[in-house]
Amino acid sequence: MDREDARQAPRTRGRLLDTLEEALLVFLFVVMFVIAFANVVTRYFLRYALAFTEELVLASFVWATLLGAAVAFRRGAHLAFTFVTDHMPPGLRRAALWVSTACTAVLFLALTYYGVQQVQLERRMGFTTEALALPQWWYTLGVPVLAVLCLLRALQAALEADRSLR
Amino acid sequence: MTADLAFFGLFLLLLALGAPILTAVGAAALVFLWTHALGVQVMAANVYSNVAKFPLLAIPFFILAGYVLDRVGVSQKLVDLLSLLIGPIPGGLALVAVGGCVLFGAISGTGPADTAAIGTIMIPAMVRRGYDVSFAAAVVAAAATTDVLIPPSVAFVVYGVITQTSVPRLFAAGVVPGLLMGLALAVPVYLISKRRGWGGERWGTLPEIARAVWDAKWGLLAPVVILGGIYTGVFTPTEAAVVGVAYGLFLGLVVLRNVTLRDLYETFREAALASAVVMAVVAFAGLYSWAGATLGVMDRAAKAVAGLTDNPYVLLALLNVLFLLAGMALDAISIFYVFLPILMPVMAKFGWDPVWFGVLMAVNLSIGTLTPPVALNLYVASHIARAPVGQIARAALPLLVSLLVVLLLLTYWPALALWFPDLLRVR
Repeated sequence: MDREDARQAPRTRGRLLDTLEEALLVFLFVVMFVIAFANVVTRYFLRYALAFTEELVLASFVWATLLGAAVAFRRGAHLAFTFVTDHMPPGLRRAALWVSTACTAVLFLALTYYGVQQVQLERRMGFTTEALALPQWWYTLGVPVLAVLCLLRALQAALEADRSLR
Repeated sequence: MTADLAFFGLFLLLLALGAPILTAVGAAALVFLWTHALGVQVMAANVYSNVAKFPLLAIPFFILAGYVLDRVGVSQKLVDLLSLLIGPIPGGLALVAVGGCVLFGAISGTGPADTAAIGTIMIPAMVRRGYDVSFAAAVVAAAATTDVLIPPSVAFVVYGVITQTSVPRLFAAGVVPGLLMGLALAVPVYLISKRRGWGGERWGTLPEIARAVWDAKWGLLAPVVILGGIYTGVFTPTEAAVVGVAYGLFLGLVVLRNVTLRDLYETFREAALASAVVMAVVAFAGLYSWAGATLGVMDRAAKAVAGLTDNPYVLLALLNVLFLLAGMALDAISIFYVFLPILMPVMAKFGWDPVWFGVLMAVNLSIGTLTPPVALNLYVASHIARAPVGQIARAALPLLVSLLVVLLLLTYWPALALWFPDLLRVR
């Protein structure tokens, strides 16, 4: 939370991407709510199950989580234990920042790589989803794509934090 | 053994370096999947399925419901009503803050959201009335810990998914301990206020009270709408959360007409962000516990924990200390993912009820949101009060001691949690 104030500095570049990112996040949340609510209404009031749309809600949920994670990287909103680094001299703090950023980068690079492999596997095997019989990889594709976004946003945030420590 | 220690050590090291928790668990899991050649290819599918669980959908919707209902203004009306009912007691406003947090806890699913909703109203109000600002912030932060126990609760949804325990039963089991925590806080709040001369408010007249009840009706109905559906067996927790969101939107757009589309856009955005922060931890902590289970680390750790002592009371005391310490450094969700695979066999060995154990962990971890360095409630309160976290933490100390009494009671008297769900006959 302490880092939140440092991030309020106005930025000129990348505004459009920020807005698009957030708009897509809101869109996914609206989709989740609308379908889930339609499910409740049809199930209890019309006694007609739309359960097959559940997988759409879950896919949006996964996408919204990764997209929101990217926004959270940019805003420095991810949960972290900063007690030790807060008491470090700036030089050491920068070192810790880059070690941790390197780990974040490796994590999301791996997620991108194995995500692409997963998509290829699902295409090759022709996996389809249980309820809607859509190609499974349509849903999975969001994982590598959004993992790249998380990676970029984590690097961007680290560069900004680094600048403030110099 | 060395490899097992490294499995936890790497995670702790990354955590100490200030890495986001999701990185600490995710990267540690990755290293071990690589070095042990343990099916790392399924990483993406694993992360996907950790999130894509129907019961977990309750999390974004409970968060959204809390945000929407707060934006619609129900928290202010609840506070107004409480001011007339308990305001006249010495320390009235502080007691109203405690009650407000407990009441809003029945609408919101997380402690920090509760701190923000009630804190933005009550902290400035208390300061205007002459209360010490650190005390005001500490009262709200401490009272918002009850949100973890008072249903709906995001933490219980995650606990239920990991341990395959009934979420409605967990929700019901949190009620009595949650209310007790509220009462336990009222005692030091009253005593301190009385000593410091922070008096009560004037008495409300009967028509005023009637008027306030009427004004607060939408807020008072919210828990009925959200929880009623679950306990009449009509809705699953996820569906109840969806209905809660719909109720909030209906109030704001149709009944009260006090929100614009722009407000809703912001509310959805902030709720989506708050949900993503929680769910990102779920996604990667799930990977970590899967890696640990596949490696057999969790089983060996469980044996080690179970072998510590044959005396369940001693072990419970040790676990409480462990949870309190862990709660100082980590959030509840990652603690559940890291510790539960280890503790589930231990619970089975000692015949502990998983529902009671979940409540016990939740009380421990909610106290952790009050203790620096990682004290989510304190951060939010400090942000609102514009007072340093350290000062608020000191002011929260007597309140924390009071919460520890509830923890002690619950540890050795499981009926405290289980009595209510048994009464309701929820399984």
